[in-house]
Amino acid sequence: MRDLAKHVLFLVVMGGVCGGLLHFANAITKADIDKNRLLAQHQLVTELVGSDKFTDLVVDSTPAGDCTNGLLLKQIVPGYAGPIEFLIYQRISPEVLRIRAVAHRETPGIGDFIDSRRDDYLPAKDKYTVLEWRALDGVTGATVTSAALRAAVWKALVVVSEKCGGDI
Amino acid sequence: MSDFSDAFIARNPAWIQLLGLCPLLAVSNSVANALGLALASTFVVVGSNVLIAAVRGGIPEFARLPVFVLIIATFTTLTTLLLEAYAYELYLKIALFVQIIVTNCMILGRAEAFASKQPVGRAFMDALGTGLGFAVALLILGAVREVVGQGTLFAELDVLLGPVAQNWQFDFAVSPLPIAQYPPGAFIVAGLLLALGKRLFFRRSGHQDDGTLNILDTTDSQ
Repeated sequence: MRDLAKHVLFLVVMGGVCGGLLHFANAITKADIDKNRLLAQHQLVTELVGSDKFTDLVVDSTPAGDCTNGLLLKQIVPGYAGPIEFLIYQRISPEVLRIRAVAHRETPGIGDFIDSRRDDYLPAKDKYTVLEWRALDGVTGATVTSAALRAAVWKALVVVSEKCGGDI
Repeated sequence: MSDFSDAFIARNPAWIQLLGLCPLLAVSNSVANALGLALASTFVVVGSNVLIAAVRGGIPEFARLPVFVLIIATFTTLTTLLLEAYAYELYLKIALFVQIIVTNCMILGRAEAFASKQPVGRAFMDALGTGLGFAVALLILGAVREVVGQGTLFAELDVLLGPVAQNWQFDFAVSPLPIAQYPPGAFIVAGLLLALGKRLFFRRSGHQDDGTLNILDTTDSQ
């Protein structure tokens, strides 16, 4: 009984030490991590929109911008290894629909084609029309990731259609 | 042999024991990526082994592995946070492989076979030898794959070392062989380097090589 209490005490102390270390590390790195994430998102937005006019907007699933200049929105859809966060920019006229993955944990070499830092797959589709996006085929070996990409595009189309009208 | 040289050469985790091959092959397509993972792995193996050695007397036998994994996961998460805060570009490239350091059998293997049975000083030297041995293997593989696959050496080192490394890149006037950048190329280059290393090591040390790799032999000099 005494041994058991000793073991339990040891495990509690170890858990506390490890948790404390992580809490401390989180406290000293949080500001830099937030700054890096924001900067990376701003770079992505600038790349998507072609200018920096949206970078001051907080982007979430509610669209930022307007129907004339285009709408920017974030969509989170389930991927193979967790949620994938996409940033989507859509303009009605002239028609533009561009998409980038902001955060993902897809399998390297298989599902990470959605990551524009590693693959040209999404930047190469920056001039696709909505029809071309809707007809997008999957990538062999990355069925779930491809489905996630199509789901994000579809959800964005629905949101933009509700806000600006027009057919999907 | 000392704990350090034993871990570094005779029981090199990558070239002798063939441990940690997943990150070794996946991340070694350039020196910059290889150096990032090498530093991360060395930090985790040294930190976790020292802490495990320090508390080894209190670790209950029945909870040995969970405690090792808790400690290794703590150091892995620390590394991930530091990379994301201070080397974000590199973090974006190698984050996934840093996170799976926690399951690297090289680190758990040293914790189980050595650190949990030895004092802090010896555990530190063993971990340092293991980490640096893995780092050297990663860097050699990264350098060869970068030169053959991209025709460059030390490209993008500034994402890890800062602006001072911006002009360190060498460009070779050879046509790159892109397969060296991909997983099949990683296996081929690693196999050739492994064969070369075995040949050189056994010739120099006068060992008789029976042509087999005893990768399960993790016996330690105690």
